[in-house]
Amino acid sequence: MTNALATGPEPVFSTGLCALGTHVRLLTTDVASISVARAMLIERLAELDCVASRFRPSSELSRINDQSRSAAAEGRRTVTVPVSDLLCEHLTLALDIAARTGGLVTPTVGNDLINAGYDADIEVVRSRDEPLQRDHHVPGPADRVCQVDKGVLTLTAGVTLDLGCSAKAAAAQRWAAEIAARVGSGVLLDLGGDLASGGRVPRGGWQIGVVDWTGSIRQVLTAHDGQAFATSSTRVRAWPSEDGGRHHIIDPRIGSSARTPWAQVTCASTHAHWANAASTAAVILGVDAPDWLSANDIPALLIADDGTEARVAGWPTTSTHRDRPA
Amino acid sequence: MNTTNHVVRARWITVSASAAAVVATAGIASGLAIVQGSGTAGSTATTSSNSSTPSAETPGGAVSDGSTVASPSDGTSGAGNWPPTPPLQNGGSNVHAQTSAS
Repeated sequence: MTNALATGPEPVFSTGLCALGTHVRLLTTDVASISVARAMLIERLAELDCVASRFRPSSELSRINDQSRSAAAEGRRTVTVPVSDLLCEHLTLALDIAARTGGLVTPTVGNDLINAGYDADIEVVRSRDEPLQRDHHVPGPADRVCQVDKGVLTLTAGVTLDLGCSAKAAAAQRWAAEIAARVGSGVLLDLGGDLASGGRVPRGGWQIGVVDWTGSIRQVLTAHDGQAFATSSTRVRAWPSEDGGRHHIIDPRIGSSARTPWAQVTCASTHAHWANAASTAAVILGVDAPDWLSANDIPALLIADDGTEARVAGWPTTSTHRDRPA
Repeated sequence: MNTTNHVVRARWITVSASAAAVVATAGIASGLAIVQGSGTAGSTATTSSNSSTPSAETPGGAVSDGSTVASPSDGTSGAGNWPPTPPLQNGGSNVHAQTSAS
């Protein structure tokens, strides 16, 4: 019995909450650390919401977007704003992601999201009896500049920023490491499907289920050091529209919800923000996604609208189908 | 806070509904890297960079009538900019956490 306990799966402990408009789950390898870890997580969530939320009117990002719109109304070409260290870090990363994805995953699609109807918490958007008709001015001719230099943001007047493509995943990555360092145990953090770990890995590794939009587990993977996961989907943050429905993944080439055969793409990478950037880009790329993922050696499980699966770049082929976990 | 200077520009111009020409630019400014490309439907855009710094790939491709999603001008550009992921392996019966649509 003792040997079995020593070699079997190591118990881990979890706590959950709702934040950032999604589910949050924190796991640790040491039950004694979980209350401190949870308190730290709540503190970080509040900080991020105050800085990067597009829906909190008082957030730093919202104030910048307000200034951008005001500048456009006054006929100015650009707006220049000092930004906090935290927002600067998130903007810099978002711009790095934009560069790595050739502009496919960019923080400058805020107006497109609003025009698509995503101008409030997703529950509010979904609950509307009729789609909201918006026609926010989009700087034209589709030329949007976003520059961060020495803590100062320069933005084309009228551009609305949205950090939904990067902030949550980046936060998961950073906080998992920070919390693990603070509490001295292994930590796995799930921010709305963006998964990152810090500290020691439990015996046998972190067991990660890839769950589809129906709640079915498509596959279970063992995550070790230096592996993070993210899933992007057109099925969950979605709402009805006159033309059949919209979702939150904007294709900047058309300024609207991406038209894609993929209902869901899950990617693995060294960091949750790279995984999320890749999964978002893959949804936008549509039929070209498998080639792009393979060319960049980004392991991915792609699930099409009809439920069929495609695996690329070393994603394991053996799959197990299970029910939703308790 | 001192940060790298970034500029991201993106421009997609539908020149003709039938010709489906697209011009796209994307890059990192301040002398780090500039990538530009242009092309027509089905062609491969040229890319260039003035730096060995990881650079942006150029989106582009066809936007014929507003309903066709453009495809990347070069599906392999950008390769090497992504960190290699340690090999993945299938897991066991317990599920600690799940990555899912949210």
